[in-house]
Amino acid sequence: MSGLADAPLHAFVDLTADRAPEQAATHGVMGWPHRDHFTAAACRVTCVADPGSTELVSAAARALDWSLIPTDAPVRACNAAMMRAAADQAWFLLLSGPVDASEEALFAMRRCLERDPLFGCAAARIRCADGCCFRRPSRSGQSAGYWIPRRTLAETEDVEVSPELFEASLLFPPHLVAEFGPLDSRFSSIAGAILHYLSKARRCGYRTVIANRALMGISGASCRERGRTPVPDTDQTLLKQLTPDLSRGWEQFRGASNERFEVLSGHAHRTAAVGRPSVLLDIRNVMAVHNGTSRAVLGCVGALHRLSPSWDVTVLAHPAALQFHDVRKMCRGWELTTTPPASPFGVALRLSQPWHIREMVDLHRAALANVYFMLDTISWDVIYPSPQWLDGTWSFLAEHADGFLFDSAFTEKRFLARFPRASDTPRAVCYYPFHPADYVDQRAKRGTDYILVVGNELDHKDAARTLNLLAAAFPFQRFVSLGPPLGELSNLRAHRAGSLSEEDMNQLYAGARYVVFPSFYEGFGFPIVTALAYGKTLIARRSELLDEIAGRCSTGRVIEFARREDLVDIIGRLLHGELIQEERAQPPKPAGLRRWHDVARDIAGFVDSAAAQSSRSRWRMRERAIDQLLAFGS
Amino acid sequence: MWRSQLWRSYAALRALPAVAGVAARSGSWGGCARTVGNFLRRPRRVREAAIIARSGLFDAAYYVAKYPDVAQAGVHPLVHYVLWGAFERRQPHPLFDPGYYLERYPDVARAGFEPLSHFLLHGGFEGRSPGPHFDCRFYLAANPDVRRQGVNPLVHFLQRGWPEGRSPSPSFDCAVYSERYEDVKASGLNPLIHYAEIGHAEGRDISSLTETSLPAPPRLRLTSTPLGNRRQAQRVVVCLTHVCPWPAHAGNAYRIIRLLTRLRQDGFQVVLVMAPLAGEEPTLEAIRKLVELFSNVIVVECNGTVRYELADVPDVLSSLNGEHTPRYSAFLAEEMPALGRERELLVLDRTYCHDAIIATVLRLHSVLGPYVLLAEYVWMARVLPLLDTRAVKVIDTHDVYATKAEKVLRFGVDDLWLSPDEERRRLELADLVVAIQDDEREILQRLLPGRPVVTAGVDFEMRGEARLPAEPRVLFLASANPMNVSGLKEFLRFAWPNVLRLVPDAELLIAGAVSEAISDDIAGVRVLGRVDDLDGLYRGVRVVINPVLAGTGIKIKTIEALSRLRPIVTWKTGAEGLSQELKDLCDVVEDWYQFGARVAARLRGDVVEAFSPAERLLIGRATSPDTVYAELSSTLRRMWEERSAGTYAQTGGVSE
Repeated sequence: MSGLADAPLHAFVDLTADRAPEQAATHGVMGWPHRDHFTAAACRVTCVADPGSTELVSAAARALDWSLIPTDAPVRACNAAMMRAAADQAWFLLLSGPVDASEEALFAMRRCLERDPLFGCAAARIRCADGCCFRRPSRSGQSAGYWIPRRTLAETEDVEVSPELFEASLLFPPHLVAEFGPLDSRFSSIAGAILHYLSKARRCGYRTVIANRALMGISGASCRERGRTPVPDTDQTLLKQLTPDLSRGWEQFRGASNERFEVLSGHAHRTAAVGRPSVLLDIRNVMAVHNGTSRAVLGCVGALHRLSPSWDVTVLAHPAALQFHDVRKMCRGWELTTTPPASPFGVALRLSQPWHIREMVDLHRAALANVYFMLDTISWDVIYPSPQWLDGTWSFLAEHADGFLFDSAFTEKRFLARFPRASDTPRAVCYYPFHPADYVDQRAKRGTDYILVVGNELDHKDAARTLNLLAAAFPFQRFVSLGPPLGELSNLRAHRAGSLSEEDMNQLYAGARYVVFPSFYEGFGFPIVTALAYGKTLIARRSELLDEIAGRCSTGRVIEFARREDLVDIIGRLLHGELIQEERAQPPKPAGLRRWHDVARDIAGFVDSAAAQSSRSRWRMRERAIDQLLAFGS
Repeated sequence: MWRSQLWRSYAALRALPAVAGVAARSGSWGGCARTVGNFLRRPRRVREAAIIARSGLFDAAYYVAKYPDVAQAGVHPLVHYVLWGAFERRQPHPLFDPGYYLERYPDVARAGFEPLSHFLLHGGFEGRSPGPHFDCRFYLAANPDVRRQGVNPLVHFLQRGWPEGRSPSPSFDCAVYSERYEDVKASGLNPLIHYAEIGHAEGRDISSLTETSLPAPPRLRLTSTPLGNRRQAQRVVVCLTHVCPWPAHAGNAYRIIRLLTRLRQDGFQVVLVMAPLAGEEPTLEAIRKLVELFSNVIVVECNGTVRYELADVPDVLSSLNGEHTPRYSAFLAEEMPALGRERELLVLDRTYCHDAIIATVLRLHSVLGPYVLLAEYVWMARVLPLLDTRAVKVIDTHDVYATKAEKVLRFGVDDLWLSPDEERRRLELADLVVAIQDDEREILQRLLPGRPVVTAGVDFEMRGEARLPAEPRVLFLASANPMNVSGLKEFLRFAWPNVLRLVPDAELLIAGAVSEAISDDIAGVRVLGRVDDLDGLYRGVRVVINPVLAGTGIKIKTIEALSRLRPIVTWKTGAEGLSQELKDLCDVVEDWYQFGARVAARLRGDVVEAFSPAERLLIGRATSPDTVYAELSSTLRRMWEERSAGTYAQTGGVSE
């Protein structure tokens, strides 16, 4: 490539697409000093302008010693210019519009092309007139480019190998100027014809690169205005016909990936500058039922809404759940969506565990920082109800999440023991409330009519076996269950888990004499806190979690059991007023019981911190890992 | 747990030879090797395959024909079924539908059972149906002999039931189906299999089958054999029962024999007419003993065999010999179209009170003057409309079947039941209804306003030893009916560990046929089986338990314990129907925890005698026959006298 340094430079300036060529000529082309810019190096410059352009353009061209071709068919002129450059073994610089192409930028572009003999074309980055932003080149010329805050440029590599793209300044090395030509005259725009030309080059191995250190201005470009699509619709159709692999190249060969990074990072810089991060709250795990997950997640959403942090919030929810839980009312003033949004966010907060890698990909593509609220690790441990490949999903999560919240230290320990890679990730325990006021419905009628057994149909809740045992052991005692539908047990009224409203659930707790919670495994255990909030005697299986959660409650009475069969003895003694040895010693009542407000405050603090500390390199690692996963998936 | 694992391993090993035989028929060495490999990975399936192979319920030819891919799989069809087919809902037999079974009984699916082996081991006996066309519950109810023999109902139906004309469900009658379709008859196929495989798909006439009348029972040729003959008596009670009252191993048998004994003492000549259910035929020894007790005994079997000895009524039964039973179904308006439940009940009525016994009773009726016809249980009511007013028609209910749902079925015990209306329709046929205890009397009276209802419980001779032994022994004495078995098992599960915790040297004696239900060695439990010396048995225990939660009728176990002067711990249901003063002498508990605690308290206490002299007097009075049967005796006497005086109008009846 050493000979290239001595090769001459031909330039082609297309002013046909410019809406005001006179203005461009005046403020752009005419402003180019002869010596410091490419015009000094270029031995030949061809300029095309609309035939209706004024004398001013002609005068400028004459002054610069350019060949001016008034035409409304610039492709043919560009083709001719390229042929001439090829014949002269010259570099070919294609400028679309009044681009301020400095020697320095040109040098940077040439340096990029010299790095690899198969780099066939270099694109410069275009900055806005104010210099605050630069443009992300348009996706295969099919959409306007994005204006990205300039700080993001520092986070990019010097050279970015890219699928074909069209930008206002493109530089071709001498040996490739006409190698794949001529330009297809069926294209009406130079952008369309050049993209087609670049795709032909790429099919022979020559890739386009973005020279991230080559910055050029363009006269009149404003980052406050949306740019125009370089390839007109008719050319886009032709382009798709001739190069069907164009979009595949963009999706699968880093085009989309690099674009996403710049958009997300740029968005983060922009919102950080105004001090108002945008947050995507993912509550898709909430279904149209009442269960522990819906209680936890919607409790957090409601509390965050009341806290009203200085965020722009969008809630991503399951469509059926939106209606069932009246999420619109709960989130008045926030955006709601049922599909992953295309717009960028600073932070994505999933208020429960992810169940599929697809959900994590959605959040990764939506936000630079991804935070997950882990409710429990039950599904991973018990396996049978877990979604397919949950281990892979959570291994990925442990390695790539930007932050974790846990609803108990018990859950945190379980998760870290199973996924030690998460140890290095910022994390915090964020308990749900313990204050009775957040659980007790004053309208619920108190009573001692029955023994309430709480669970659901999953095995670890142990509800069915416990109910069968208790209903048989206490045949004349009334039982009410919240759990699996059981057969004909005369002394049992069974409510299917998920079928009762919160009001009905409260009534169940309020009317119970004792609450039995036989679950082997929980993350937080709302039934524990609810029963104690109602001041009830709770009979629960002995566990580390019970110690952790019950110890933070101020009311009620806890009796532990170790084996299911022990319940007969314990409940028998309770019913007959005998001494209970298994009663858990009440710890000193905690001062200042936690409320939903505290939960929201802790979540908000963690999210703000995640937004401030979001790591670009972590995002890029995640992006690469996802690409690898998608490669396997295909 | 080790023990259980060892047992499972042993069971799998025992099953290996049968399964190895199947594996060897897999068609190739490769197939054989695959089969063995698959079984090694799933040892539980070995046992299941062996169970199925032995049952005859796996139809390999049918399976291969229905699922041609099995033939290409290179494994024996049974192996394919056990390892994969069952869980793909493939049918191993036309009458067993795994999909139906697993959906209808989700506990089987949850437990990971292969459905057919579950059905063979458990489901069939629990009344679970193998598919939409065979109703196990109905089959067991209609064929008590099958229940008693412990044969799987479907296996019984396939091997013996359908050739004997037994119906697989209330809505399907094999004989009618065969008669209706010539091709079915000619094929010799089991009609139900034909219907399941072909008839159903072709839309053959099942809807009309369910709505047509139940066919009249086949006319039976009667053969009667006199065992002896003497003179006619004046006051006669003809007792019609399916229960053989001697030996009195069950409460109902004891009650019948005590009641008849009392009536005999009251001056009635007793003619005992037994219609034993299939498989419950009395032994000759039992008949001899009953002849000894009552002089007049007739045994009428459902196949038309009548054996009898009559001392106090003329021998009219010899004339039955060679006769065919008339078509009683026409007289009884049973040939009307009937729907499922009606058909089910009609089958039951005909099972208990079949045409042979009706013919026998009517023949007796023809030579008797005014007499009392005492029908034991409501199931004997079928004969009553055929009798005119010479008979004082009495139904001795024993149980109120309309309360079964509340008192039995709710505890998960399967039993016969009637709706109040169904029970009323049967009881209305009687002139007098006998309740076995006062609570049931009230229920029956509400069911039959204006109809006389009296109470006659069961008497006991108070013969206990007042002094309690020092040894902490508990007694449960019972027959093997499902309610007793269930109560005992729950006592052992819930209460006995508590008793042992509180009284480590406690011992539970289990006596009577219920002993058969306890197979394992259980700490502190001694299984005695049937015991002849009940006096000695009761003398040796400090407390008796009646842990039977479910049940109607009178609680004989409770009264017996009191009459033996032993304290009894029981449920409130175990004291139901007792007079309040007797109830007050029972330890009535509300849950199993309390049950165990009360038993332990009775064992630990230093009480020397359970009851005071005054209490003993009270027990003696309350359980004496004079008290128990007084009302019934006087009512029967009065009604008989009124009938003799011609007070009653001639109503109902059919001439011989």
